[in-house]
Amino acid sequence: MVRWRIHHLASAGLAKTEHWICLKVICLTPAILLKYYLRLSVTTYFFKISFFYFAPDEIFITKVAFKKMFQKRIRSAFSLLVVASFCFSSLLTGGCNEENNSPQTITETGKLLFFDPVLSANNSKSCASCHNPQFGFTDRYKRTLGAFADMSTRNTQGLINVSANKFFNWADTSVTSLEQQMERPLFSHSVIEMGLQKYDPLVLDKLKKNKQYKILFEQSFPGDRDPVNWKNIKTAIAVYVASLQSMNAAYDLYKKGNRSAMSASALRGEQLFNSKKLNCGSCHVPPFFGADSSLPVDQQYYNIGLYNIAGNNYANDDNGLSTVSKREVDKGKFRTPTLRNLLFTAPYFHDGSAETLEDALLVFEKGGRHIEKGIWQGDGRLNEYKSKLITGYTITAEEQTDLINFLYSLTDSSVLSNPSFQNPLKTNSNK
Amino acid sequence: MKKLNFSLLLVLLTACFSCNENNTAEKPAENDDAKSAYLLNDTASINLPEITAYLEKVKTTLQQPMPVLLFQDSSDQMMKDAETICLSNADFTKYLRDSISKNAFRNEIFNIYKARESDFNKTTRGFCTDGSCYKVELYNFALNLTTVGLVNVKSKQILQVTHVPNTQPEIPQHLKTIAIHIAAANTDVQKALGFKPGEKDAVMSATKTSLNRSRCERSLHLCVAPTFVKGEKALWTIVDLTELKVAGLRWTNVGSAGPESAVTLRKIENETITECFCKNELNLERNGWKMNYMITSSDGLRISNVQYNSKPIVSSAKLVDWHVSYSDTEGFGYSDAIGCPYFSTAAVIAVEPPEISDLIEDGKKIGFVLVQNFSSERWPQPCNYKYQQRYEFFNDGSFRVAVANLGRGCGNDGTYRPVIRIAFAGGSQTFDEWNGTAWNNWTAEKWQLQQANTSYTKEGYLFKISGQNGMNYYIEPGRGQFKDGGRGDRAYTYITINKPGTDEGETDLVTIGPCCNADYRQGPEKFIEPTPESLSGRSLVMWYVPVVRNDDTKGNEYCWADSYVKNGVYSTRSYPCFSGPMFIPVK
Repeated sequence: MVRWRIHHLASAGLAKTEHWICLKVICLTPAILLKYYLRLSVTTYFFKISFFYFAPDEIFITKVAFKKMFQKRIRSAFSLLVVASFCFSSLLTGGCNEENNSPQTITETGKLLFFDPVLSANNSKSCASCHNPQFGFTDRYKRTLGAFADMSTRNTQGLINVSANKFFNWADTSVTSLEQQMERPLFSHSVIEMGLQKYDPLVLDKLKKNKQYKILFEQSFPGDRDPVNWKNIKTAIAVYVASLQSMNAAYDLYKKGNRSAMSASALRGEQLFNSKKLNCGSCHVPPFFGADSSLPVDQQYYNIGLYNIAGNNYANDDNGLSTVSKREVDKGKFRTPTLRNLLFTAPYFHDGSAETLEDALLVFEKGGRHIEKGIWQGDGRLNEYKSKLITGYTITAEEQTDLINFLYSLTDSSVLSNPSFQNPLKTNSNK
Repeated sequence: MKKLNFSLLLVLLTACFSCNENNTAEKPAENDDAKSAYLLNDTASINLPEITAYLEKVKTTLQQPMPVLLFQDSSDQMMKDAETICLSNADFTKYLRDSISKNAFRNEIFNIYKARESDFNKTTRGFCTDGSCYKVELYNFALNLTTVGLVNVKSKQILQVTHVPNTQPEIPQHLKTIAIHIAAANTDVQKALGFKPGEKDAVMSATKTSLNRSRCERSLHLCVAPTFVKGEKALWTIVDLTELKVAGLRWTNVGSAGPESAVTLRKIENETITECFCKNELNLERNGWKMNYMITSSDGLRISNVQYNSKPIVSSAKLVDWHVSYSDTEGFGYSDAIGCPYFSTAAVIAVEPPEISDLIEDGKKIGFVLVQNFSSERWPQPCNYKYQQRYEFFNDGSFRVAVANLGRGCGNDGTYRPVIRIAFAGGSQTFDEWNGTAWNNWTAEKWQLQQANTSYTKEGYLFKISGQNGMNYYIEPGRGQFKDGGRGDRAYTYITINKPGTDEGETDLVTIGPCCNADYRQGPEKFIEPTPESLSGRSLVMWYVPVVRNDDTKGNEYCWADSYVKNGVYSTRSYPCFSGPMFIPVK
């Protein structure tokens, strides 16, 4: 149910909807009932007068019909009263929805938790340390460092519009919710990120002793006797992350009718992007320009020929989807990432191995990557499991600029200034 | 029925109000609990004898009519005289107290040293020919302000006073010692390392740092980072010297640490370098080029009065800072200064004299290069640095101001941002940028970032500088085309006005930017904001700040160095990253 809620709220952009529907029902019911009551009285009076004294042809009505109408309205009013009473009692016990919580407060709680380093073993890392709003909720590391500087295996993905995803991991189709995905950074033993596997009781204790969190958790999960628990923490963060939605890139504005939002160069780049020659759009599907969650797994995960180390292997012993699926053909397959906000989210690819956009585009231009020396030496272009869509292409310098301008037009700068996305714990550094 | 309806209405209206109360209750005002949750509880340091003594001095100073803690690290009479002269100057002491309450700020003289050639401008040079000039650096902890005074001790004359907001001088020795003691005494540090570190275990203790979401953010407080290397990781202890406590701990991954003992470097006597290259400018004439050069206190190797075929080209060029960041998100790293081995607290110093050699291409001499290396003592061990400056001069009148990081450092995910300053010769210049179809003139001071979609001319030029007497050059930023292993500069370019006398970098500069801003705020913007001035008819300064990331991936190393065993002994392998603009004469 929680998952439904998150998706429901996120996909419809209705973070506050349930709450408001409930409030509206309760608050409007008296008004509606009053209206019914008055109408019934007036109507009764009117019909009495009209029937017996004026009785125009067009409103000819019998006593039987009048009685039926009266009964029908009473039934409607009664039904409304039942609904309102139900909502009222729900609210008195904590809220209208099944979770008995207020999405607005949960989002706030989640936001605070998201930015608070209290969630790491040594108070040094918050979720936002790796998912920094300033960089489209990434961290600019090739592979991020945990609280104790352990290097993770993969590049941090951005979180804007992430709730539209079906899968929440570079290469694990079993992770289908944000709460599941959170397990890894919070509690992972293999590569320590937040490092809570031993410290989680201490962290819970800190949160429980914190007045602000205590109030927020009580408000967010009012039916819960002990609301500060890991389930609720993950739910709150998931609700906040699901609320990170923004589609205000130049591309979006253009599609909404602002014809000056995209430059001529960017428009030429869009054509190139969708052209048969480049065919980028077949994997990077609009509107998110990443994997299309409605498509089968095979059309969301691809091997793009980054590596070919002794037997089609990928670097860092990270063979992507095949680690989970145990299928050889899934070697080197990673979920197609979104191209939105590229300007903020370098370096690129699952391991951050392309430092710049030019580096990344070169891989597609060459039909894969040929590493000529070092421990990862190998010709990714010849990787047996490379997608057939990665064939390479030739474009001019001008076309390259057009393509980059189009990709930059997918950058939504409003995420940098949106107050909902900013750190609520910013220290006043000027004292 | 009516009664029932009214009763229900009443109940529901009551419910409506009460439900609003329950569910739209205002979020409690953010208290400090959550904020302080991530600040370390650093009480261990407060009782250290060094800190108690220092705090006592500060307390006494604040009660003095002249609230300045005097220079702690020397008893030289000339220095004392220089200090006295500065402190009797109204301009120098302008910001010692709050202008309204008149309460004293915490002020301290950080450095006093004999002024060298690189500390003079055209106006002041003439007053210092007798060798009696000293430079005095005052730091105001409250305003985060550096005041620099240039004084002639013999004539008891103060020649120049400069106030530079949001900058910090190099850290004096006693504060470095205090920082190490604070770090070593911290229980979290001891817990993290598994032992109590000694003074000698700390590296980079005098190098300024910052840390986001702490009082050290963007170097608003004076902060340093004594760092302890443990295996393949380094523990950074961010010490706030303004508040005398630990502001945060961070780990970086330094990769395979290599040998415990340092690879022996060829070392020239520090005295020789200081005597020969730090005190006075040297002349260099070759292949039609003529210039002066010297090693500065903290701005690296400076070239000045550069001429080609007797035509003045560059007034001066130097490397002001190295900003080294290990997390764009958390904003910690170092602000490195490079300079002379003596009279300088730069952590990365010149250990070899400058070298001049031919530039050869296809067996032909095409020009010459002036090279200066700067190195930390234990390079290439973790948290030790080596930098290079290269001034390349070609026979056709082209030249390049290049810098390189020769690797290692304190993490395998570092970003290096060298701050290069190039002042053009002559009274006025114009500056143009290629917009894809034509040259666009810059009319006011501004900056620009070289990005993936930046347009270049067919030849690869991005800017054009045009001056008097035929000083016209195209400027070609690094995009990996110079065959030196550079992979592209992605540089911020700033154009400011050269204002002799106001000291916007003409003389040796204190560290002008915090280590770890991930945007255009690398220091030169201080000379542009808040109101950019018109460039019309003015002499210009170009600041060039490349953004270069290191890589320790085997086979793809960049800005990296390691040690390996060769013929039974350790040798060093360096993977330099070069950056810097090329200037090509307009024909």
